[in-house]
Amino acid sequence: MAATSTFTAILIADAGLRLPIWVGILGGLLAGALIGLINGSLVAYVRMQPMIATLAMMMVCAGTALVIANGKTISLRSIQGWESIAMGQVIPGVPNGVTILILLAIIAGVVMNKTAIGRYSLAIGSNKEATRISGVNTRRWEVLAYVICGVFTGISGILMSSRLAAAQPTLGQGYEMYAIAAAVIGGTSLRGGRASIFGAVIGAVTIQTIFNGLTVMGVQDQWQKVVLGVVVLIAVFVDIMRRGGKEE
Amino acid sequence: MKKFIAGVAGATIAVLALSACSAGGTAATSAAAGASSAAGGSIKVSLIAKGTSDYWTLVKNGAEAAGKDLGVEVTYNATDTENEGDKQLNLLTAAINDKPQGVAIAPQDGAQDGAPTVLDQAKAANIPVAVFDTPLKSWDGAIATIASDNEGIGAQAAENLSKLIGGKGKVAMVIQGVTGTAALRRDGFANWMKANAPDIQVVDIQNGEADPAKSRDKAQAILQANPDLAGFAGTSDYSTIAIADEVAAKGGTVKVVGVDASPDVLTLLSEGKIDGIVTQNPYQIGYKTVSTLVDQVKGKAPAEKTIVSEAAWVTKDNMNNPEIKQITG
Repeated sequence: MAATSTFTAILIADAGLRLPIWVGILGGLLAGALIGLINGSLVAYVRMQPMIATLAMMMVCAGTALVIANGKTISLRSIQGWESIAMGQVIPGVPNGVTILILLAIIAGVVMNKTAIGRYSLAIGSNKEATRISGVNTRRWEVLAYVICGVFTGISGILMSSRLAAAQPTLGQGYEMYAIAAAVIGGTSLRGGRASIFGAVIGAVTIQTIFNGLTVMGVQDQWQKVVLGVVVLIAVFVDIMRRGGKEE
Repeated sequence: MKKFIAGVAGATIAVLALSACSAGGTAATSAAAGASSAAGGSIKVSLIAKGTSDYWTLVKNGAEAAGKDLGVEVTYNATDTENEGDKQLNLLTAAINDKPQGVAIAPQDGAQDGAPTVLDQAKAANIPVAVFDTPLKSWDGAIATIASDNEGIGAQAAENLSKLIGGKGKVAMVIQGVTGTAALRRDGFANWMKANAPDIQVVDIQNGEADPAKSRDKAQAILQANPDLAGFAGTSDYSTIAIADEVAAKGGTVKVVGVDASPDVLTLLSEGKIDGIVTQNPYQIGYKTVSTLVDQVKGKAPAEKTIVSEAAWVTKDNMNNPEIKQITG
């Protein structure tokens, strides 16, 4: 989840070694997958509370990022082509970051709706026991879901460090709340069983539009956070209303 | 903690090496080991800082250079970010419990109110306390405060930006916080503009929270809202980099000034994406903090309670001058 910082830092370590960019990218993705694998195993096989396991892992990652980056921000400005990963324009007028987002959203949407992992994830989220009794190896699928999540976190770390042309080991602190807010605004149930990729993208765009719009209006940062919090509360409230006041 | 352990380990090795020398070791080894801790008797000073950015690396380098020059042992510890007041107080307590001959702290906002109680213990144990980088309100037991004049830095940035845009037009700022040094620089900037530049309008000041990504979002939105912006100022390295990158991405003619010279800031300066920066002298702050403490330990109290570390205006033209090079590292 918030292991973004680690990836960034690992990439930098790679950059420090002056390895080619693709090695750095691969390293970031693999590190993401590995952390997802550990998270998933802790939850599925050791049966830890998901929230506790991932929170603990978040601290491990944040600390590790500082250790391997030696506590400093690592500049990627001199790495040829790194900035263009997110900021270049393969399609004229559209930064690559946006293109990548749309591509990944489409892939994720297909995976969620058309493949076993997607459908099983929703089923496990809805009722793990029933899914297991139906003959699904829930543990294995759960781990895979976490691995995919980790890979996506790796991608976000790469894009973020590309946009900033630097990797800061303390980057991304508090972003896990934005991720949760985006999913909730997009109609994903925190109790599991219901999720929408399109909704999550809309949620993320909504959050960023709120921040951007308020800044354009000259509203100060403190109030921007208040507004975002209220918007999340309203989103959850509307969601409850829509389902006729039933609690999941 | 790692640094702390490393420091302790280093000290232990030095002590071991020394005892080996006194037991009849060769002159060569004693010279090597003696450089760090032997010459000053056993003076040990401990610095507690509040960040890991390039700025703090320069502070650390300055402190360690002073330690080497004066032959004292310098222990340097810092929190990872400037939002961990409780952690900083823990570091401070640990440092005092280690019984150094002097201790210095760069108090972060979250530690301002808690620090006096801990520092009273240091005073009770006859350990002189210096404050560096950021003044400590609500406690006047420090032998001296070694810091930049942050309001002056804000004013210096304002004055130079005003010159760059010909004294008129809209300007905006991205700051790295709303308290402490960020607030002082912001006020210094805004007040100077108000008093000296009647034709300059400060249209917006936004907080990028010392987060590079958020700083860029703020800079981008301000540029969207004010297409006719003439000048843009940052109050820290991250905010200045964010502004410069956004202005360059937009391709406008906005003049960019900032504060603090990290390597990336200098790169942008040499590329002409930043027009000038006011830079503090972090190296000197670190150096003077250690030397002030050591003087005190040796019985020479500082003449002034406030030791101002001068800031310099750095542009593409003077950035390679030797005296600027020493400041920017």
